[in-house]
Amino acid sequence: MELELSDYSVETLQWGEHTSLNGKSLSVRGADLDEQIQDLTASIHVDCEIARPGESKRIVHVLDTVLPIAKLGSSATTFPGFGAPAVLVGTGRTVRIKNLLVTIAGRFPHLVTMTPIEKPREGIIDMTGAGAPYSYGSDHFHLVLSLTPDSSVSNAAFDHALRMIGLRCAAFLARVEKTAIAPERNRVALTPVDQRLPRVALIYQVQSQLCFARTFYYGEEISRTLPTYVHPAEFFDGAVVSGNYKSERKIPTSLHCANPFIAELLARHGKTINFLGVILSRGYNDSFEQKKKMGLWVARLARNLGANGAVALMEGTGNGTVDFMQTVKACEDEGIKTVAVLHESNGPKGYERPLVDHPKEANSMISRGNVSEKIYIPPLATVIGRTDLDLHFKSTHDPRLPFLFDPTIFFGSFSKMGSGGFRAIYEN
Amino acid sequence: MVLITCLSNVAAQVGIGRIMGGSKFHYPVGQPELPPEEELRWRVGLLDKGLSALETPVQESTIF
Amino acid sequence: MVKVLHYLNQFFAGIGGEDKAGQEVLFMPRAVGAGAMIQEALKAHGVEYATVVCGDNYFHEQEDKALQAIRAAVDQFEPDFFLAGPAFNAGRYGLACAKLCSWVRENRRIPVITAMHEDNPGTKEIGRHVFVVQTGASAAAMQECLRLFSLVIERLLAKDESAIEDFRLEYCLPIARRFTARSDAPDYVRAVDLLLAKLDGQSFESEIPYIEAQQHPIPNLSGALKNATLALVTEGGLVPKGNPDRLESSRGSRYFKYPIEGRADLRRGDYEAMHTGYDTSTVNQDPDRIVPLDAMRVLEKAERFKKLHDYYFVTTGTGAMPSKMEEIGAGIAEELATSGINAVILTAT
Repeated sequence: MELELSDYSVETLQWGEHTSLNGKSLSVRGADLDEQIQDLTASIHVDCEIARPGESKRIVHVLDTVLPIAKLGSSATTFPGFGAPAVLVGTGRTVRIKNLLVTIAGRFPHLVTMTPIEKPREGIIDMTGAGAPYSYGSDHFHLVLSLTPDSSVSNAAFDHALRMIGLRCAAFLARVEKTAIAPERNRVALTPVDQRLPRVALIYQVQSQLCFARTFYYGEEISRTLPTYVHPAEFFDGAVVSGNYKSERKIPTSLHCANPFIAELLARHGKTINFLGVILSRGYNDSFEQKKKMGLWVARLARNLGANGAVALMEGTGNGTVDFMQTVKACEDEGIKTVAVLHESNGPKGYERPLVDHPKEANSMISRGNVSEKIYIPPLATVIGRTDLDLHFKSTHDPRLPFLFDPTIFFGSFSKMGSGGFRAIYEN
Repeated sequence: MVLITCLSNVAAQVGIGRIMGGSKFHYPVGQPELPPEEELRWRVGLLDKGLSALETPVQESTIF
Repeated sequence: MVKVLHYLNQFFAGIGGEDKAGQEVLFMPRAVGAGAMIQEALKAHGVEYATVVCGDNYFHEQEDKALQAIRAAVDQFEPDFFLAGPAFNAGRYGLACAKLCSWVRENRRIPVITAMHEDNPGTKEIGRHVFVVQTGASAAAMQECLRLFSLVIERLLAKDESAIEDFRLEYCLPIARRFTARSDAPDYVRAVDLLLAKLDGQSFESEIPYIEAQQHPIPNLSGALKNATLALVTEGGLVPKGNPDRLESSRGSRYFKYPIEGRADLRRGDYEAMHTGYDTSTVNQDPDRIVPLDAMRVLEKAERFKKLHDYYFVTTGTGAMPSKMEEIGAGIAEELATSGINAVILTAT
């Protein structure tokens, strides 16, 4: 299996008469976007805005970010299972705009009818300042679509619409006319390598519980699947799509499509490791017994792949940690050396026990930092999206004013803290 | 005290004395698939086991 | 010109002892008591010194009011340095110093300096980047401590990072706490490196240490269960419909008790669960699935135990800090113990 990537990147992004990429300058005509999504927006008002890295802008109520990816010269589509009958992906040619995101922001129409666990959590992206190192996407260009649904739209319909709007706009942008620029070509393949290299799998646990906190694989909710093997190339084609609005811990759709763990393991394939591929599993199972079994099945799959080592990462927090730790334990019990990556919650004063669950087998962990430490968040010049932040159901806050909060207010912060090199350390 | 939770391993890590495995974390003392009378009978049985745990002296974390 | 604001309690401000511990917040535009020595030591810089005073009891009994008044003083005076104490081993004073230094540091990002003994409960309230000079248990070390306050201010004014770090190592209390810092590589690089070391049989170190939870004694029932009064407690956020006391749906900061006297079970529609950590719909259909009143009534009638307490207790645990839950647990336990309860059944999600 082999996927060829044609990668573009942008240096400027602006509105224009035509939608096209000229060199590294992307112009977007608003009407072109409207055309893509008009059947979805009869009862949803859409405001489009641009945010660039380093600008003094804060995007609020972010629900998802999508990477522009599209298939070239074949009948296949990216994001299989959405909008067209699913076909297998991960082969052929895919075009990407690597540093551009279609960013969907907005509030659900009927928050009061949601049970507490269904309610989306506030997620903001600060493009500069103290919040930027905590905001996933602060180093990308954003085409922000702020959605305001009529009260006639149900929560479930809004969930569907916002996902389709993001995916369609992303696929459209990837296909724009390109002039005066040649793509950078990359290849995603697990070619046979020296069999003496250590055989390493990536364990990739996602959050999938219920509507508004779920993840899709080929359009199917992962809560309905067993742990499964996924080829890295399938991720690049959007086989995994996020429908999870637990913002701080969320792996956004764009991060499923361009995950630095997958990229790192691919880069080392054939050099220091033999990368076997990805085991996709689900956290937040309903009972300890189920959590344990999920771990056992992941370990069995890793064993059958011939892994002698694994890197494990998870989307989530709280009880999802138990599924994750049962997975780590099961792998270690099977003789598969496993390194687990996780955020810590050491409290604002730093002395709380860092993890919900910590079995002795999890003896080689990578920290993403203390997510419950208070940080001073200064105001930025422009706020994109409706006003008033939801400070996680406790109170609201005018996003134009400074405030003190922990990193959980930032969109994708757990992943961003990790990839930005944050970790927790002892300090006097 | 007896703690009824489905995450008994976490309870043991923090040193809870008497721990009993519950049903699902969404409803630790529920069995919604059962008809109401059977669910009550099941719950009475679970709580009766909990009472037995209370009657049992323990020195360290014990899962009943 | 350097502006220093110094927090003192009623005793060290020379207002009086325990009899004056109810002293309200008082702002004085000058150095008071120990402050005079620091002012003198810093005079080469041209110092504007002010003092804010509050009685130990007033601070603890009217904490919100005290904090508000002291914050107002900070906002108005706009100090370059905030000092508090030294508190030595005085618990109430130490807590006030720690809370104030933490607040000032987080909100104004100026250097904050306090001092206390390692056993002072205030050490648990110290925020990040607060200098906590180590002192003896008694005020005998006052002179030395004030000298150190002046020394660290000098070093901070000189912006001498290595001298500041030396000060931290030499004179500050080592309080082991974990905070976010930058490492030399992203998580995905460190993860693969750590795995390779582990696979290669090299020595390796986990970035997240295994930390044993503090163990507590486990009480056993002193008499027979059939003579015992039992209480139901839950972490599952179940409250009367409408959530009259506004229990939080995550990170509960309080607990509540609700009457169950005379009820055979908890009826659908009378209760709802406030909890973002689990799917509450099944519990809302039948609240006995989280607070098992129906089953307990059956067992009470069968005389397995003597009586069920007339109230159930509830909080919401999801997302909360363990120390907060310990505090809530201690509050519930104390109330139950004084109500003559012998044993508890606690349900958690």
